[in-house]
Amino acid sequence: MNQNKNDLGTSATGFGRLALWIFDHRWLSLLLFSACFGMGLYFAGKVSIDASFEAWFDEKDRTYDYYLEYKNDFGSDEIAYLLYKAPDMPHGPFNLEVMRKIANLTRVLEDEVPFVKEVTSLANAEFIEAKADSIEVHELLLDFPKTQDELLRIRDIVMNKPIYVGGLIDKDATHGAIILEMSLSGSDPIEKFRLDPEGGDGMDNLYPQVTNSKIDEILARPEYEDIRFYRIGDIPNNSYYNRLIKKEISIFPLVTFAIVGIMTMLLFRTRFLGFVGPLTVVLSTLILTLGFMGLMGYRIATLFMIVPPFLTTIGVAQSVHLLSEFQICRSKGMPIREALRQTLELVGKPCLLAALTTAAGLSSMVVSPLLNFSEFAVFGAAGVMIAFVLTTTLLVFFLSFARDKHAAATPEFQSGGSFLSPLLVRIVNFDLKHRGAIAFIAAAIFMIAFIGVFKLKVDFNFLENFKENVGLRQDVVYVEQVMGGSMNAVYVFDTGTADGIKNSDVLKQLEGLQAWAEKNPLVQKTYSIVDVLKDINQSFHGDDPEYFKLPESRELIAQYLLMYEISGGKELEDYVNSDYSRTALELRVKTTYASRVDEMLRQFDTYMAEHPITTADVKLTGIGLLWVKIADYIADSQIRGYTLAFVMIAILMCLAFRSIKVGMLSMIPNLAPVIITLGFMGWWGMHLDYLRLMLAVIAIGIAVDDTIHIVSRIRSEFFRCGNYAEAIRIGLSHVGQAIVITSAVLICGFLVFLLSELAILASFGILLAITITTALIADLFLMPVLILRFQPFGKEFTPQHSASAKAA
Amino acid sequence: MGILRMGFTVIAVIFFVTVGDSRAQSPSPEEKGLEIAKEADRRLSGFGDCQEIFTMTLRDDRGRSRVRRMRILTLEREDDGDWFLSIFDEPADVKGTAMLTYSHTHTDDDQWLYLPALKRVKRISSKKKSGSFMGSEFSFEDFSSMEIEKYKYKYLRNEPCGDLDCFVSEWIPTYAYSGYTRMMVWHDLAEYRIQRVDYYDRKNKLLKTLLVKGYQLFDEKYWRAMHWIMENHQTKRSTTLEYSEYRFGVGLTERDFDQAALKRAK
Repeated sequence: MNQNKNDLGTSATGFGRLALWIFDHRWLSLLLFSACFGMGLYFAGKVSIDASFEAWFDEKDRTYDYYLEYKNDFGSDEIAYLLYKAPDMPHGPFNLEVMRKIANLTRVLEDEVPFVKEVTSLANAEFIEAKADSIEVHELLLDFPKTQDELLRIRDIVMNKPIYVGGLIDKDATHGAIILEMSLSGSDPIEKFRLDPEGGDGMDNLYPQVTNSKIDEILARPEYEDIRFYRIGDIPNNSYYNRLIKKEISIFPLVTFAIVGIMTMLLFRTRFLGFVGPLTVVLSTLILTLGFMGLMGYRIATLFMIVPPFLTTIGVAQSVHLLSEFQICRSKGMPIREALRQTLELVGKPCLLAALTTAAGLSSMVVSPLLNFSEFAVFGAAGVMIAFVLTTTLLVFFLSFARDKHAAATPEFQSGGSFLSPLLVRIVNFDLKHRGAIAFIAAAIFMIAFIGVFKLKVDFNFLENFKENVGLRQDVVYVEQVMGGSMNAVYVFDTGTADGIKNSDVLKQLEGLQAWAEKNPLVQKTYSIVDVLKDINQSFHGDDPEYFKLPESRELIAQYLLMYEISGGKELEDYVNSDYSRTALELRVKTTYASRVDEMLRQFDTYMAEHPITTADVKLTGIGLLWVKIADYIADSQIRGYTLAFVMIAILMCLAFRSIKVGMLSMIPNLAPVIITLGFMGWWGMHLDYLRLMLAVIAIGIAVDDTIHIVSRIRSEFFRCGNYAEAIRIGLSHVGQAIVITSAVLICGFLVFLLSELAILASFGILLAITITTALIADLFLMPVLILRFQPFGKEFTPQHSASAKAA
Repeated sequence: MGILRMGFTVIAVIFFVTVGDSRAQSPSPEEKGLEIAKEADRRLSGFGDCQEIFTMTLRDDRGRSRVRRMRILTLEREDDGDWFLSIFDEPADVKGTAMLTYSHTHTDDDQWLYLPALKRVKRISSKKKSGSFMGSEFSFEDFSSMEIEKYKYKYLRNEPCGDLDCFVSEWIPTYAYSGYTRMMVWHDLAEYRIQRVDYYDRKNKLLKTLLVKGYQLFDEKYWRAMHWIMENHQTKRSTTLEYSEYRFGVGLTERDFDQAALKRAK
């Protein structure tokens, strides 16, 4: 056995040379960095924010392709839905004054709000009404009632139109609604989103923010002050998300850095360079990561929110290792140039390995069919590697300016945390004394957690994305209470031939499915061409309720539809495509867990298996289905991503320690925290949402860093002393302080997510902090026990110098 | 309101020209715009009655199309809007459906529809002006009876339009609930025929462009376009109108335009 085996390998010399080159060519280094930074800034300016639903899906995805096809046929389904009430006015929405204001507001919204295709309210909704021998197609706005009594008569007509109740008016006639349909959707190219074509891609010049801001400005006008509005739908949601992302990605890095900076200053007593250096590294990392995203054509989506605190924490943690080693070298009296060389030779490779394992964990998500995840995998991993490169170059550049005099007396960065030493000694003693108990307890906890993992469900609920005090969530809850569902699922009937849906057999099968759907407790409302045809049939027969049924013959159906078009009817455009080959059955569904929607859709599948639709090819789409698909994809990614992350990191560990045994053993304390956290979630009844999904791959990548340092140090000590217990005692007491403090930095960094308005992000932060704490405990207690038990570095031996001493 | 208008009314909606005033003191742009409109209107009048075959092709943004074919009978009225009888021949499932329209310049049109599947006539009443006309890219107001007072006019310039030279005028609707803020209208200097119209939506963005082509002279008096293309720039959909078999002075009377005529029409 080679007892002088160097854990850092031969590339240490390479890192040392890098440090010397930077020291000798400081200004050239600065120039090169400035050039990279400039390019980063340029490309970062090209990145836009997109938190829309479309940001989740790859254009090649089949489910998403159906959705795009549906939108192409039936137009963008993006809307802003404004529920209103006027509690102080008699008759509420049917108060003459309120209706006049709503009529005016409808017109103003249509004229002033950018990217609006159509605005529909009670004031301009079309009514087909039978009058003596005529059919009247009219709008309130065009023939506005002159008296309150006249309006109340209209209220009776409206309340008898099922197509409007639950959509434009609630069943108690106390709340009305205005629906703004958009001409754009999130899948359109960004060039179309600009309000001012020359105004750039700033958030305030882009859809949907400009649309939402204008709606807010109009509703705040004094003439509408006695009407209370609640806003939901794609426009308020996406606009809120986009603004939230912008706000939180601006604030989080600063807060993270402030907290982490204060901690490092307190724990390590850093001074100017020790503070400014990491700060510059972190900010530059963020800019260059954004630049990378711009270069790759990625957009900032919801998942990006975890990136700034994540990279800040990673950047600071890497900087701490470098600064710590640098100060140790300086305290030995080395000149700056030599201290930098030695520092980089010692920490370069562990930092590289730590960065590689973290990046490997993240990049495992590249297998996800969800665009948000696969892109995050790439730019997240790129960000980690950028942080590593900047730590080993830019930070070295800063440190090259450290004062050469009084090196030991006035440290820029001083190792601290000595108060932890007694605790670490006690931990080591405990490990050595109770190795059996530790192994037993760890195995028991692991087994309990492992069972809990099987209780874990992939699920999420849009509402639970937000904290309860967020206005958007409160509005959605209120609107759902009043009007029912706000999410949709759509069955598209494709007959394959132009005018195919005029076939009465197709419509009868559609009617059957619709009637069955209405019995489902999750379905709050259904819409289809069947509703319009029944309405026309009834109106054509003097409003006789007997005729509220589908016409029998294809000719009559075609002639009714022609009459409807001649009369200027437009509602059908939402349910029928331009050549009448396809029609959509839209189901308004309660906002709930994806698993419940999935269960509902499976019931529909059962119905269609028992009552096969023979006249058309039926495809399911709509936001509701996309939600279910996201849950499916998460479940799929979970298995494949976790496996890939584990395999990649395990390979890296085996390569790093040049031993399969050591590599695999090192994986145990990294895997255990992830299993324990997931198991805890399973037992607690928590579900795995799209953020928590990433917990494992992020946590395992970070946790492994500490393991690398511990195993590396214990191994080094073992080769020196030949005794496992001694190696653990010395190794842990040396490296333990840095590991505890780095973990504390990481935990505090991730707890910044608690500040987010997004409940899922806050809970993600807590769970990540718990996982890192568990990983620290596993590193301090379990890893030493495993090393003692499996003796991965070979048999114990008596060192030559001891043997020589004995012989002497 | 009627389909019938297509032949005319679009034209009717469109143009009018100054004739005599070219010698007078140079009129203001508003006066000249009004004069162009009046002259265009005058040149469309006086035909008495006519009939033609009309084919409407609707195309969506993917190029899928639907075709409707109908016969249109028109009776010119001197004091009010014209009367139209439209009989659908295609598609087959609406064959025999007929629509009678008494258009009015000052009030809403009167309209009756005969559905052969029910063998019943129903009066249809609609005040909608800005809505789509029969699912096409034309709107009702594109075909509504022309009344000079419904617009403000402003002559802008002369400029080439294809092989011709054109007046370019701006028309601003003055009636309530128009779907447009303004229209830019091109008609040729020689015959005051509409050549092109750009429609701007209520946010003053270009919404549609109408191109009128294939003018033919009938009875050495009446210019009628055979080919109309309306392209919606926002939805990328288009509608083409093709006219054929124009016949003027066929001897139509009021009896050909009553409710009984609806049922007779086949």
